[in-house]
Amino acid sequence: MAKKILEVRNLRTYFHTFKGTVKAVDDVSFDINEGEILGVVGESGGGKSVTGFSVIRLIEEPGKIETGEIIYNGENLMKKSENQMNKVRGKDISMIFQDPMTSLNPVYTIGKQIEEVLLLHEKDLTKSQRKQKCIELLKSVGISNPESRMKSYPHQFSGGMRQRVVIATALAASPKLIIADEPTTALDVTIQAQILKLMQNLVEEHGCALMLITHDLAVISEIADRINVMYCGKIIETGNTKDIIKEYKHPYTEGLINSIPDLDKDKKKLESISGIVPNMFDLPEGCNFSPRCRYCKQICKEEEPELQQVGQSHYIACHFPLKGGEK
Amino acid sequence: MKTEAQTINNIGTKNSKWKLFLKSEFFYNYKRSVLAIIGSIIIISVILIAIFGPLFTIQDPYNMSEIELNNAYTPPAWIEGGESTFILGTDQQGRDMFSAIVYGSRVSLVIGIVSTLLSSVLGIALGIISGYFGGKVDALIMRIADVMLSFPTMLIALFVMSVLGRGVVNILITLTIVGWVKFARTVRGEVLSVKKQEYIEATKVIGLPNLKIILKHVFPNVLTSIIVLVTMQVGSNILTEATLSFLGLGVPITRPSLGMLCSNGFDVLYSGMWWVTIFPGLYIMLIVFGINLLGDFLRDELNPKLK
Repeated sequence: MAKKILEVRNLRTYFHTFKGTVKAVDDVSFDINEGEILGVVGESGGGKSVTGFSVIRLIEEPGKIETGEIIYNGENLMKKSENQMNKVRGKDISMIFQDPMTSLNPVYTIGKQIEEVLLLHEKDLTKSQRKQKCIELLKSVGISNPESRMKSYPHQFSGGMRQRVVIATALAASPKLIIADEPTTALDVTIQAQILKLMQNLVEEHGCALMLITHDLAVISEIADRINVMYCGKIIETGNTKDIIKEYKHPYTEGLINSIPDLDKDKKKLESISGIVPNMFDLPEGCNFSPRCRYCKQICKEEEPELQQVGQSHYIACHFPLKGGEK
Repeated sequence: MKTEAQTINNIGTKNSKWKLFLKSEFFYNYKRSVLAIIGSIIIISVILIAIFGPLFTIQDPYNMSEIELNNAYTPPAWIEGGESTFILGTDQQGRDMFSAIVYGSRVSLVIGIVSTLLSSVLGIALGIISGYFGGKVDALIMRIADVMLSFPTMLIALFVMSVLGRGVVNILITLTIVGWVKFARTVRGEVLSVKKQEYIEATKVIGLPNLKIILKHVFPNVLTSIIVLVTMQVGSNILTEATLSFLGLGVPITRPSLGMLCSNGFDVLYSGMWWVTIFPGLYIMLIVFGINLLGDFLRDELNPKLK
């Protein structure tokens, strides 16, 4: 069995606002193995991004990580001081953001921005070594003419190229884990595929793990090894990609999969999950998904389902698991 | 070999940066903005006159031995009774007005520029701290700023000056106290919007400490609005200083600024000796006018919201 690079245990991240407490991440546990791609899917407000930010402990007021252990490479990150965390961020765990248009600083050349990571985490490199490394990084993310492109400013790049630069920045200090928060959402569909392919290749080359956060199950099914499905701050189904796509057992996963447009079938109307994500201040009793679930029974409204094993590494939180994905 | 190559490289980049500037939209618009060019010409000439003017004046107006009381109230050269030595006439002590204005403009400019630098440094620091860290610090700084803003600037300035007394240093302190608020509020607003940007979040993700994030990433992104503000503030501080001096609360009598020159002639303004007040006044107007012309241009150019 592959070595675990990240273990998250009973993570709870709450936001304390004047309207009440939002349990953005509520008792979430998962692992990421070395070199693995873990997909995290769910609707907006499902706690996916907060989970990502919690891992590197960048939750800002009024948010707070209440309890939980985040064990990276055998070390509990929750016990580290802010200064020690700064050594982990970027060096061991780095992050890629959703919008490449705003995640690069407009006043610096892209070379400077990649160099900054090196300056911070690879202190023994000389100036020319750093330059060489930047060129290599840019080349590896598929930017032609890296020598001259290093002197360009972000506004001289297209969205796809910027996201490549962002990826290069994230890879600069050769981290063991990259958290990608919706890296392709802001991009063209054609570019999306390229970027995903690139990320998949780079993860393989560098042997780092990837936590890919997205709301697009189609995207994730392409490249992820395992998938966590999140709903209202909880993991409701987790398993290998094949299990989730072909043998999904949770009604919510079914809804997500059915709402992917299918060109082969001649459907008049796209299926959707009825209703909306519940108000996070006022979660329903019992199963969070019960108000929108078409298989909802009385017990769903009273008792919250526990995560139970249904396959080899396939877990699901539902009182009435679907049978083999086909109803 | 390597160092040689590097030097050549450096020169290359420097040249290209200058060329880049000459080719930039900013410079293109500048060349086409008559007002901005007039503003710059005024500012540059005023500065040159302040620096080199004393080489051309006929006297040091504050060296009593060079002044003769006999020459008091000589009208400007082109008016009947005027003398060609005193182009702009003389004041009640026989001081040449042209020399007095040149020397006075030095005081006014130095006070205007230095006080702006002081208040901008203070205001920017407080504004960034306030906007970046938020919370209680922010509340405290901004409430102080609110209190400052709820009084008229001149009232605070008069109050502080009457406590501290006359003097160049005291007027710098006063102008800093009343000037920082504007910077702090503007910078705080800018920082609030900049810190929400993902590239700031990204610097946290790579593990950059707060101080470096502020200096290297937040500050350069709020710089444009600071440039505009600094330019305008120099003009406004020259005016405030002139007002204070006019009211007798500014610079000491031994080192009069333009504002004090105005007030010196004020008593005799209606007795026909108008030149003693009018010329220093016009010169203040010219300086502030030039600064504001350039400031307006900078504001229009550097503010993306107005584009």
